[in-house]
Amino acid sequence: MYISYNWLKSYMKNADTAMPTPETVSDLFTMRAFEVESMEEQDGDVVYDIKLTADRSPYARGIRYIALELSLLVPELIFDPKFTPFTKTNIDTTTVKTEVHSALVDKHATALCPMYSLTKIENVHNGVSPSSVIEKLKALGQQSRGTIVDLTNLVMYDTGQPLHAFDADKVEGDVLVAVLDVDTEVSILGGKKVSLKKGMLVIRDDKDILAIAGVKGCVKAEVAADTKNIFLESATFERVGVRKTSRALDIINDSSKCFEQGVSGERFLLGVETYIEHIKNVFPDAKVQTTQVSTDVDAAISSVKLNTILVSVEKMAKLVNPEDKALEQEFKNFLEQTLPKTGAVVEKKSMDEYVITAPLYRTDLQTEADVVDEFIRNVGYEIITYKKTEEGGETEQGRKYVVLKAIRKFLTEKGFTEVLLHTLVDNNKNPDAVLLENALTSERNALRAFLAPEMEHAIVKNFPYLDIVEKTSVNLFEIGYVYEVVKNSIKQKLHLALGIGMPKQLKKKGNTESLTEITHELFLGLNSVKNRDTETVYITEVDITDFVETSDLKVNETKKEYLSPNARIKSFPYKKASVYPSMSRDIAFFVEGGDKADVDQSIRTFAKQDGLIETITLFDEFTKEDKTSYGYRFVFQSYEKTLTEEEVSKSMQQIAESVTEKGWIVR
Amino acid sequence: MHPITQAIEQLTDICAKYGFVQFSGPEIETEWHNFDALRVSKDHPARDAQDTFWLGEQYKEELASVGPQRMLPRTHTSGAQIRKMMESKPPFKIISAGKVFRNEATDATHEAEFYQLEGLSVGKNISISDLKNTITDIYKEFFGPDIQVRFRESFFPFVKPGMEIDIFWKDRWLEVCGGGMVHPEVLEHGFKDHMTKEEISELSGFAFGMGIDRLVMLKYGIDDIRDMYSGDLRFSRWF
Repeated sequence: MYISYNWLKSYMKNADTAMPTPETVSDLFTMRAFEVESMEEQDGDVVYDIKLTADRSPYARGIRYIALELSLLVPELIFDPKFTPFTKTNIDTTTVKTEVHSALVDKHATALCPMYSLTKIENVHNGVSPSSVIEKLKALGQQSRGTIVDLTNLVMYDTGQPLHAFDADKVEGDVLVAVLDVDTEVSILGGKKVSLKKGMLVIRDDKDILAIAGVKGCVKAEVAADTKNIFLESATFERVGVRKTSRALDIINDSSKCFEQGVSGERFLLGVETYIEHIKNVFPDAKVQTTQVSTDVDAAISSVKLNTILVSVEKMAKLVNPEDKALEQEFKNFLEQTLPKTGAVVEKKSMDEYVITAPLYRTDLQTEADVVDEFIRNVGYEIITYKKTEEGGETEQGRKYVVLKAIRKFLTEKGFTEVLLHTLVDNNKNPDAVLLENALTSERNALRAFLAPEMEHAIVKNFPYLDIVEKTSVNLFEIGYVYEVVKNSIKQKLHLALGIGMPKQLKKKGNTESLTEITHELFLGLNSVKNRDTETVYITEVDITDFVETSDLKVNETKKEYLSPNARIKSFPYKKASVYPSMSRDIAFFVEGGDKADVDQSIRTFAKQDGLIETITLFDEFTKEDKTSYGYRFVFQSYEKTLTEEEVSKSMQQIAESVTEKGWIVR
Repeated sequence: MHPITQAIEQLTDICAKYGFVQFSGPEIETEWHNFDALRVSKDHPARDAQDTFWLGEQYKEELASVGPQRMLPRTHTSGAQIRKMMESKPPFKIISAGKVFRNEATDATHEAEFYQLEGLSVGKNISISDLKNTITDIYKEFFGPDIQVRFRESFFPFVKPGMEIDIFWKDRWLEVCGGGMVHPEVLEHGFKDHMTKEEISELSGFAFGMGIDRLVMLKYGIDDIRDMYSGDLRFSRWF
């Protein structure tokens, strides 16, 4: 929601002397009220984009309420009471005259529209707005569209009550709020045609649709240059209905957003009153008729029973910080001096107890917890001084956590790398997976039934990277939840998958046997529930759901030392993998006599001169008579481009030359 | 070991010093545990299909107290709070870490599945200062003693007051955690089957939840969340 610094100022009686700087306002809001997402200077004003929290949105949507909040945070600021009648409902002091016309809302539409009002205003026209109005709207990024329309927008931003004006002379017959009983096409303001669906709430006359309730006006009764008389609509539309319609039609605007968040029911009269005040300022001869309302306002007021909250200062102070003895006095000051500014009535019952009656529009101030929230918001969390918690020695963890930790440690020591792969998978590749009602994408449309399919994919994907990570096989493990449908319900199971992959020679090296041995050692023969056995990949998967609840597996570890993060950042070599392919090249040479460490260092020095070599591995070494042969593998990797054959060959040639210069013989 | 696992183990060790133990909640939750019991209103947009994954109508779980419930891959670890309350008498302190799911398009900073760590402490006389101190302790130990932590007013349906917690990281404030005092109605939902109203009214508690992926990405300078779930050894080799 956009708000302007100058608007905020305009609600204060002493803005010239007491208004804090735009930066201070931003900080105060962010820390204590509403997060400021952006702040921008603009033609002598500052515009903030603030995020209202869901609980406070029905109350605070409306810049005057934001200004009121600011005045609570800056005790010197005096909020001008003419902008909010501080009475219990906001209605009982209204100057608006009303009469009941229950026929305004169709009987099937009352749930979607609990309150509808129309005020006929004659003798106005949609000419150029006063410059003060144009400026105010411009600050919020709104174009001027003539006085009648501009004032509806102005009042919406001011009070949080969306308004709509119809050209009264274009309305044929009676205005009615009704639920559409057939799909209908209408032209909305701006001329675009949209298809309304059966069940959407609309405003109509005897012949046509005048507006999509809370979302958009239609062309039929559009206010234009020749408009002289208007019907002003101020209503309460039910939030979910507006949200669904606005989403379905993809029309999202400030009006629909207001209703979506919930507009508190008594506010419609404030909207009418404020609009009349403005329009009479511009058109002193305007004639305002009695406002027609769909429900009896007076009866609604008399049936309002305001909630009272009994609070104990001692209890609340203890809930904030039992060690701060000064808090009780802070709380009393807040209750006696600050809270009444919100319109709440605060009565002292005893030395410790107060009774608070919150005004109707404070839907967020209803319980003791809300009062504590209001207090904390007012003073800020800084009121609590940080104190280190006493350490009570290490608490013992439950069996499942301990066993899983031990399994991970064991497998890591055996040379397996832990991966965390997707739970959301493609059910075409995982036929047992449990389908979601709403898929993320066609490749991620179900919950995995086994870990093995994703693991196989990960193993094969890693084959080209074996050189770069200096390994000869891909050894992975994953521990994760999988799902199975059992008689219309979903069973969650904990699985462990172990996989080995080699681009060639997997079978020859007897890797599958070692894997069977590992699972046997860990689980004393737990049977695998899934095997994958191909030329290049072997995976075994076991169900460890029960095992982790019963096993005695434990890690006998000495205290684990975690590096301090700063030390880690500096020394930590994490480098994002290149998106370009790597290339591997080997060189082998004979050295007569010579020291292995010296050879290794020289080779690394040669390679270093070439900025493209990522890893260097000694993959072969044998001695024949007095000569030793060394075989080195270099992985070339650029982070900027795909390397060419020529570039790599040239580098290899240079390395070969350096080797030859050393007197070693390239094989 | 995977950096997410390492972070969970480190956070578990840190929290254990202050009496927290790991408690594990299911990844597939009922709508009641994930939303209703936590005061997320029936018409809250979070329940819409564009934010939450749902399992088909055919999968329904019977909850004795509230009837058949739609099932979903949990959108947060907070359902574990309710499960712990329903099975144990306070005081207790738990943390619960695991995978959560959101129906959102993936990019460098968003994944549809990621990890969260939830904390919950319930007992008599648990205060906001306990929450502030505990969170500060955790971040000081995880990111180093000089880390600056700040607490901002915010809102989550299951806490009151609610807060958002930022750390100062490389010259700017970053949001890393949400928390607050457990809402009295949530305590009521969790304990009503095995405690009296009066006993429950004497309780207070705090809860917090943090995204583990974000902490790991900050700590190691990882710039793409998807790298962590790629199974790519060129990523894993550093950890």
